[in-house]
Amino acid sequence: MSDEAIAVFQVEARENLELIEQGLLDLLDRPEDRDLVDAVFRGLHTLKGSGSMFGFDALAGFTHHCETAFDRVRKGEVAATTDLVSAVLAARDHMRRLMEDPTGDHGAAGDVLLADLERAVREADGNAPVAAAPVQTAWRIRFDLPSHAFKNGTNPLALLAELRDLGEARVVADVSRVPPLSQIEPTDHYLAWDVTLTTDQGRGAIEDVFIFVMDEMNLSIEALDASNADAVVADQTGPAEVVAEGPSILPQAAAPAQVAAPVQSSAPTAPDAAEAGVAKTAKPSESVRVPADRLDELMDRVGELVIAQSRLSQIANSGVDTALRAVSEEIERLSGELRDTMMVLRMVPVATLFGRFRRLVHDLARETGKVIELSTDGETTEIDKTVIERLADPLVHLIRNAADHGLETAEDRAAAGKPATGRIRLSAHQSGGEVVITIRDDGRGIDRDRVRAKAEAQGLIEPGAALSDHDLLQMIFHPGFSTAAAVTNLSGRGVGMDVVKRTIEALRGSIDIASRPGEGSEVSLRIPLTLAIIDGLLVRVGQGRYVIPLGAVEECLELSLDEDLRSRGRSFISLRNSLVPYLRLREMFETGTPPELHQKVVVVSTGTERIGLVVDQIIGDHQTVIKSMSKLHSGLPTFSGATILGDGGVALILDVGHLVAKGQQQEAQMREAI
Amino acid sequence: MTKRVLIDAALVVKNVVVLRQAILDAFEEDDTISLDLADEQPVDLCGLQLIESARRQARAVGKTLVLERPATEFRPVLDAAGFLTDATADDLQFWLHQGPAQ
Repeated sequence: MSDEAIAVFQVEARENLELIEQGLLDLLDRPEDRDLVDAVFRGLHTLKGSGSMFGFDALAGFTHHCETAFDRVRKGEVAATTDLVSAVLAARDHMRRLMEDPTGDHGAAGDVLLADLERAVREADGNAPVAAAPVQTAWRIRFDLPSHAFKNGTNPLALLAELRDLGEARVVADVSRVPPLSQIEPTDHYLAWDVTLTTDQGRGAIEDVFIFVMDEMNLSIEALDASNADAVVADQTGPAEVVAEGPSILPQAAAPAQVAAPVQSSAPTAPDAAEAGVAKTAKPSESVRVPADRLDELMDRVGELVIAQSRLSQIANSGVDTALRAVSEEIERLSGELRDTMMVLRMVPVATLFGRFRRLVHDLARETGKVIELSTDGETTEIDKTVIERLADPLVHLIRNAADHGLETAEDRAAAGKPATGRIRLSAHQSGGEVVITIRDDGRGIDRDRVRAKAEAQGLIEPGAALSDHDLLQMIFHPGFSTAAAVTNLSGRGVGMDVVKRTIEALRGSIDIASRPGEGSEVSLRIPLTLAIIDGLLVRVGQGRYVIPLGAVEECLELSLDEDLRSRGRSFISLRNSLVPYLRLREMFETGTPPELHQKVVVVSTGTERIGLVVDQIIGDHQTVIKSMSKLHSGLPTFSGATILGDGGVALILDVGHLVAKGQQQEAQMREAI
Repeated sequence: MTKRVLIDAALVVKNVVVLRQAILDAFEEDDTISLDLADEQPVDLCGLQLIESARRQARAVGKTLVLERPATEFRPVLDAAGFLTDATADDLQFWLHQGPAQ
């Protein structure tokens, strides 16, 4: 088996495991939902089959045990209790380990999980929903396989063996289409089968046998006994409607069946759950799977193209060659469109991120003994895939904190007059060039007194120092800071919030926290949509050129020399009845140049806070391909990166979040001085 | 005269192209072809399909194809694949040498 084939299997197995997990989590809320049970079962079945096919024997073996146990839920013999579903969830994690590390020694852990699962099934045995007594039904199954079946490794004998596992089967091979030797393409498949199967399983179980080959085969499943078929239809998942005989693939060996519901993979005949499931499995994908690194490579190329185009524009605009200028403008338009298309390719909905946290919250609830409900909002909001990947860990920290520190136990909540169920709400929405992700809980809120005491004990503030509420809450972002009375497995080790803040800032984002005692806390993350290319405003300060992310720019104003001199010492401008602090970048960067006669103020904001940045000249907008700073310069907080300009020069990209914080600090000092 | 074709390779998908040619060549040489399937060689459905195809070739060109020995070793695969479920006397004679000799 080639490494590539195994890599593809692993990608698909990961997706399958995600779906199994989502299905199980949904099942916790809707344990009676047969579609969910079937979907999880199908997932396990697929994983077992494909695992075996690709040589992941430990995975296939372990999954087989879980599938067998879960099959009892599917048959209605045991109920999908919380314990049972949780045991399968834990088993699912083990499957992932077996898939990621097939050579590892996981046997003992697997045995423990299987024992847990067995116990959960045993305990659930008494909670079985009232199930109809198994009804034996005779089915006539006729199928053939595509001509390339042998070449791609499909083993029809395995399919027949699976059918035999379902009940008593009479298998008749149809060799009528096998051509003489002189005409045969020997590796093509010409056989077909007519199987009479008597089983207490429903149509869904029969369809599952063909799950891997459903796309291309002809399959007809007919119930030979109408009354029993109806019973099975009601109890299992088969389509209820009676339809005409489908395209025959075999000569009629017996009288036409009374009930015939052929399953044609390409055209489901009923809007039934089982058929819908089959259609979902069988529908050919219209998307193309591309490795993420190739996408990154393409992004780099687009970035280089944008830089080259920028140089071309500069050359074209400096000359008088109108033809060159026309071509340059055309290339500029095309590269802009290419960039936009590229950005869309990289965008993925935050649902892919939020989906993971349902499992986290489920586990946290079990670990803490709290009743926790997670709700999500804005899952269709899209964000660059790189950003999504890097957001996962910070969000895990924040949700753990909310569950462990924020939410109270059911008893404490009852005492505080709150509902027993603690709520964590995860929401996302786009705001300009940023996505705002909010984690809100309705717990006890942050204990300011404890934060202050801890900050004083750690020497972060002087005892009794006057501190705004905002600044006090910011203390929790200091390394090693934790107000948790007890260190638990979940949090309280003081390694969370500072790491969260650093990670978010590394993404050119910002983090804000609000909290009301007794009512809960809310952490807001503002993250740029992309890390690769941004629209920027190119400005000049002294001799240097700098880029300000355009998404943060609110407006540009002129600052005359007189105004500048008047406000010296205060550094505020009046903007529609509000005072906005500003920073003189010329002074910050120590350019040593005199101020221009007509300086400009670029007003930038990060959500609620805004400041002005005084520059010498606004050059114009600039498509900015972000390059990271060298190791030597990476510690400079004022800059978030660098970019190459059209003339080959370098411009530094200003870190607006940092500058706004600096401006606010300056404002606070000024107010104190006043 | 009988042309004996020794098949001492696995009767499986990876060998069927070569085996087909060997059997076709034998059809050119004689009116009766006897396939000598070596012991302890694996067989798969593709191999069985090839033998079935050779039977059809014999019928098409008016020649005779037999197995040198009953395909007892193949019996599990023949049964699993349903080749013998509704077998005719001719089928049983061909595969297992059962019933009246031809």
